[in-house]
Amino acid sequence: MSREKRRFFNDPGESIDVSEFENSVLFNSPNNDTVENVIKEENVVEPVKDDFTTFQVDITNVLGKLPFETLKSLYDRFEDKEDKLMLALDHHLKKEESPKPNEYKVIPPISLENNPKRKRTRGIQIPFAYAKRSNSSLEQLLLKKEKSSDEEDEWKKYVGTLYADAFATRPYMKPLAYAKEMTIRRIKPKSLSGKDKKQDSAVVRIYTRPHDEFPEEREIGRLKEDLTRIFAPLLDLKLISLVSSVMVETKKRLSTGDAFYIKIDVFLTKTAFTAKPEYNELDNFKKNDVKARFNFGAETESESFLRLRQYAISRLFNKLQIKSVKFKDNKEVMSTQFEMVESPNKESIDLEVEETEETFEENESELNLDQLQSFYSANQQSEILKALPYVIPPKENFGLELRNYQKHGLSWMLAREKELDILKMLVEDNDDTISQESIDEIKLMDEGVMNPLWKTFKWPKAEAKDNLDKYFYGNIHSGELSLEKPLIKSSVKGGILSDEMGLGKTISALSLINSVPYDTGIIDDPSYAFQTTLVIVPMSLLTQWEKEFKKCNQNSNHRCMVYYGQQSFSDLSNVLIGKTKHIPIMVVTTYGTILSEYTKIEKRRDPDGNLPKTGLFSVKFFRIIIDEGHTIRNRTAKTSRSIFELKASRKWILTGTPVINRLDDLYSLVKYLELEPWNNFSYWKTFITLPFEQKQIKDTLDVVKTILEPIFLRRTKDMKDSDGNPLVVLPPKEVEIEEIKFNDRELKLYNWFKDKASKSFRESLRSGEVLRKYTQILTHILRLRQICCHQDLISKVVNDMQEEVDEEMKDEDLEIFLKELNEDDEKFKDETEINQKLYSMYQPIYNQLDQVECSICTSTSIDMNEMIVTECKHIFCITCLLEHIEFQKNSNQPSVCPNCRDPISKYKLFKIRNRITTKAEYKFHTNKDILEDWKFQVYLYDPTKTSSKIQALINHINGLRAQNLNEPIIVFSQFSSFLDIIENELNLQIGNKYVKCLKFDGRLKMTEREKLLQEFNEYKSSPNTLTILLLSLKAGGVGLNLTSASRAFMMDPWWSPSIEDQAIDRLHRIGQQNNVKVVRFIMENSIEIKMLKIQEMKKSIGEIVGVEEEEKRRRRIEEIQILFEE
Amino acid sequence: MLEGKFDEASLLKKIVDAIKDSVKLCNFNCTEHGLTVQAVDDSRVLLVSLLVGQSAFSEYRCDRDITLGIDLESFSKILRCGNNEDFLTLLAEDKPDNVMTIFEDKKKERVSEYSLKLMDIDSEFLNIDDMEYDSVITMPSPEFAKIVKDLKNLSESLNVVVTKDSVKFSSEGENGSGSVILKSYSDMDRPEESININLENPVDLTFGLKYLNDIIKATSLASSITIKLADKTPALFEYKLDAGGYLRFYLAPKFDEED
Repeated sequence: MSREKRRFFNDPGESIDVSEFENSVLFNSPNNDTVENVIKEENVVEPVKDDFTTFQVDITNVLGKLPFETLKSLYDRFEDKEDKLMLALDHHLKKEESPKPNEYKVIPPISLENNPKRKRTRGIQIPFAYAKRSNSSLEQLLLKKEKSSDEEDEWKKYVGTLYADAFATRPYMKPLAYAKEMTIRRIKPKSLSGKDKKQDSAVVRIYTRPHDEFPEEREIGRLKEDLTRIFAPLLDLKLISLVSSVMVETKKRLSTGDAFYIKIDVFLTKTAFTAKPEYNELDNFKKNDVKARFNFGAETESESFLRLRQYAISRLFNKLQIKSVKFKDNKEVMSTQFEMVESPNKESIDLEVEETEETFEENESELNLDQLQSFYSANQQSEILKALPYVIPPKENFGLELRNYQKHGLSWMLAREKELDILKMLVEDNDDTISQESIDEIKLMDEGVMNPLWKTFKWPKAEAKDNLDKYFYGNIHSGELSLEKPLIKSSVKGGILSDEMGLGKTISALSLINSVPYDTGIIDDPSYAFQTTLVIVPMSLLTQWEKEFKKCNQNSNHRCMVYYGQQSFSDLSNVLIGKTKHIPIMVVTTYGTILSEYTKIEKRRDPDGNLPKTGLFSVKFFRIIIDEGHTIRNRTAKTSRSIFELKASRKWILTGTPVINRLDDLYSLVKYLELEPWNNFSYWKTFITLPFEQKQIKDTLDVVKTILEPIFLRRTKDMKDSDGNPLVVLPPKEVEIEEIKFNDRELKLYNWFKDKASKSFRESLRSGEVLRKYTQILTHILRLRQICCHQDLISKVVNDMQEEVDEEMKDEDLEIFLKELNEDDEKFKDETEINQKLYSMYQPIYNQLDQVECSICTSTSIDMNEMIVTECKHIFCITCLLEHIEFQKNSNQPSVCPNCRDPISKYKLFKIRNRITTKAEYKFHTNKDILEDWKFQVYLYDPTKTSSKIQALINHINGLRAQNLNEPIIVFSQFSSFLDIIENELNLQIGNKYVKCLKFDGRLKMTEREKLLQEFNEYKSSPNTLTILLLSLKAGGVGLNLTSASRAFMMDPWWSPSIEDQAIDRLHRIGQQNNVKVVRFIMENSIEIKMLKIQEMKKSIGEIVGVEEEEKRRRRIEEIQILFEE
Repeated sequence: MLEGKFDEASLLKKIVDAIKDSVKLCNFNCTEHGLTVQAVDDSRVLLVSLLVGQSAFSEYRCDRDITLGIDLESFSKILRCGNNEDFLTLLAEDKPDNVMTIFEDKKKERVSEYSLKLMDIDSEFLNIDDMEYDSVITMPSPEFAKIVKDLKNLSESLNVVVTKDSVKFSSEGENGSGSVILKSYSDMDRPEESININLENPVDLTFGLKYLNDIIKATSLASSITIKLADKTPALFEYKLDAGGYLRFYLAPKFDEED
């Protein structure tokens, strides 16, 4: 198949007729003659597989008769391919050229694409002579030389080939011959009427190459819409150049609308790798258009431009099946297929590791909190982390023993701070060595991290051996391309230590402070407190930090300063900088302190926007550590803004929960760490928030992952160390839900309120005003929850309500109801009757007092506080008797005294307390003279003071007392007034001799908190007295370390399960020696049960999923509906 | 070989609609610079001169000069088949007996083609010299269209009097008379709204409103119209095409019987 044939293909001018074609072949190459016969023979003798026959027929239709061997080899080669015909054609014709000596040597296969392209890119007219694909090699060479100067400008690289449908836009008189070359160009409409401006016309046209007959290009057709979408923007930006030729010969002349197939070789031009004007525009937009930051709905022109480009690039790569190369162990992971297939067919660039995508696919629709957590940890085990040694802080400074993972964490932190010398030194202290290699590796740690938005791609025809030429890089988010590896040079010294709660983040941080207490570099800033680390903590942790510091500190020159409240200084530099001997290496302060300082000076910025130099803002710290760093998760909150203003050369975040609600919570952390470029909010928004909202969850998380990877360390309790042992062995934790029945009175009260609440809810649901009346409904719900705890909680509300005129009506209802409720029970009629009974008790009680025996539990010598006296003057333990009454009531028996079978009532019981009743008083009521004052006092027992829950708690506590438990007990509740009642009741029912109640809630002042915790921790086991810490869920939920206790009671459920878990984790954390047992009290058939249901729901959904406002509302209503459903 | 592509079919559509009432048949002369038409109406009072420059096309090629004798009525029917936003391509061979019009939808993949038989039309080509006019008025084209339409109701002829800085269009009929007086006015924000009157010598001319009514069909082609007047010579009404080119009407004034 010699030159003649090639020319024949190249020149559509010549008429093509199959018979003629056959003739020409016959005449020109006698070889073919025989071959043809062979084929015929083959066909007759042995009907080859159908498939092959089809193939043969097809290919003969296009190329004419071919030697059988060629046909066979083509078939074998492409047998499995779907588009084998095209591939075979392509392959065959290519091959034909190459072995030909001389003339074709000048045009190696590649130049087939390269040469034409050189001119086409810019639509330059091709010199006529050249276009003819002249026979003379000399001419070719000359031309090549001429062009070589252009070549540099028109650098381009082949990225792939597409087979495309096109259709004629006008009649074309001649059939299109195979391999006839085409030009692809785009005409941008010059003027478009206003309304169309946006949509832009997307037409990519195909032109014939000039040739003898028509010296100029002629349009013949256009590409189909799908490819047009991809090519149009890229051609407009001159990012790609295309070379095309006819793929399948057309049988006859083309009329308008006829389809034909072309092959398009796609090349990336130099411009694609250099020009990024639109990116600069984007930057400008960020800088200038401050308002636009908040109006993300509006898309600027440059943005839409960027979007188009991004879309086009990613679609193009998709089409070409260019996938990013991933590296594993520095080796490229790719399919071997690539090596085998030489011709640029579709598969040739298929290099992908696809598992990763698949694993994420399941999550795509939904992503719950757990998945996010596992996603954190997934990225943790990078090579570098493994390479890090275990180090211990210098012994002269740090006196505590670190756990293994903490040592590891310390070396990670040192590496993050680039303190490699110290790291090395400390390793040696630890009788370990670290190789120079690993040091180097660590050095490279963040320099080697590729920008997460970029992916590596491989040139499909990698001729060059070295990596530089082998790969190129693309940003799938912006459509940018680059030849150089886009590295992130993170200058951030610091990071996020996000070990799970209880893994000792505080200790880790302190070990870091003690290892590198000062900046040893050159200090040229006079306001640089280079010896001081600022630690910012929630108030409840203030003293704990101070204490921990003292505990681990071994160096007498190191001290810690608490910067809080009265102690604030106008200018800290006096204390922190200068010749002073004892410069504190650690200053502990609270978020609140910073906030209040910030508020004071916020308005007094100088013209440059700098804050006046006072207090904490007067110096630049060596290091800032923020504990419970998620406090600053809201970037617009004033606290967060004040923290952002603090200056330091190293910044750390300690938090167990970096993401609380939304992915955007991370933004604040990144902003605080000054992690370029993510601390630019519009950048963050563009690449993370918006894609996430658009449900591109997998991609977004990928990005977040790579952003965090270098600066983020998280260990969880259930993680294993390198030896496969769990990091922390904590004793098991047991959470038990105890359902409690309402007593009659509570039930009545509860139902009354419930009816009211659901009535009001249904009304508002019907009128569609659920959300408008949200607060009202919440109030109803709150009351229900309060009744579950104790009725007195609402009586306070009732009192408040009475003052409100609006609710007068309701008040009356309630009062009437309460009155009825009270009348239901048997009670003393009036005060006189009470007093009469009461004072008649004294003498009989006095007589028994020496040898009181409870006939129910048969224990003797009951404590006076526990005694209860019936009307019939028998004495019992209070708990025993109440249980007894309850039991009888439940079994529908009349309540009778266990001793004398006289009827008794809860409301007709008396208690005794250790107070003096004077002669005068006794005489006043009884008219009896006695010799001396009574040593005790009798008073009416009020059963409404207690509640089912309290009773259940007391039962438990009594049980524990019986077991001689010698550790404190913790009681959680979210209502501090409930805690008051509990305290009261405990003292009353168990007696303040036997229990010691400590109460920790939001009302406590700083110093009191500290004292209280000290008292709690210094708890001395005494067999008789049980220490009970009453803890408000909100005030004590974070930070506190209460490991000395192992028993806890949660009096009421909270909406979010994580808050409760956090509270439980106060006990269940490192240091806990015993099994932790938690009892949660839940009222049976009450709103609390439904709250548990909601908790379950929240656990499974997680609030992380980017929910629309609408969705949130719907969910809220749903939650309320659950609460009210029967 | 002629190949001319318009970004939007509406341009050619408007042009043809603007002249098809004045002349029925005309020759489209295609040269490498663009497309020109010169034609005179049957009464030989109105001369239409059209130039669609190369720049008005998104692509234009004409290897050899080609003359297309077109029946505007039929052509206009064909043009109505395309959507305004479509790409429009005119195609003709070197010695054509028909011209092909191809519409391409910009969004959808729809292509339609129409072929129009050409005719042999005799026409002489007049050379119109550039000449000095006594007064030149530039005004918004809709403004002029309104004046013509309004005054047409009164009479068959329109009298235009230009003095110092004002122009007075008036017509007098059996039932009454009316006039519109315009003075120079410049609108900085929207220059196309400005009225500019440039006077060398006062002019007083009368035109047949029938012809003017044909002229204003071109209103949609340009936002302003330039009227050049000189005594006893045909007046020039010019619409400049934004894309490049113009449509000019030369209209002979009416002469008073006394003259």
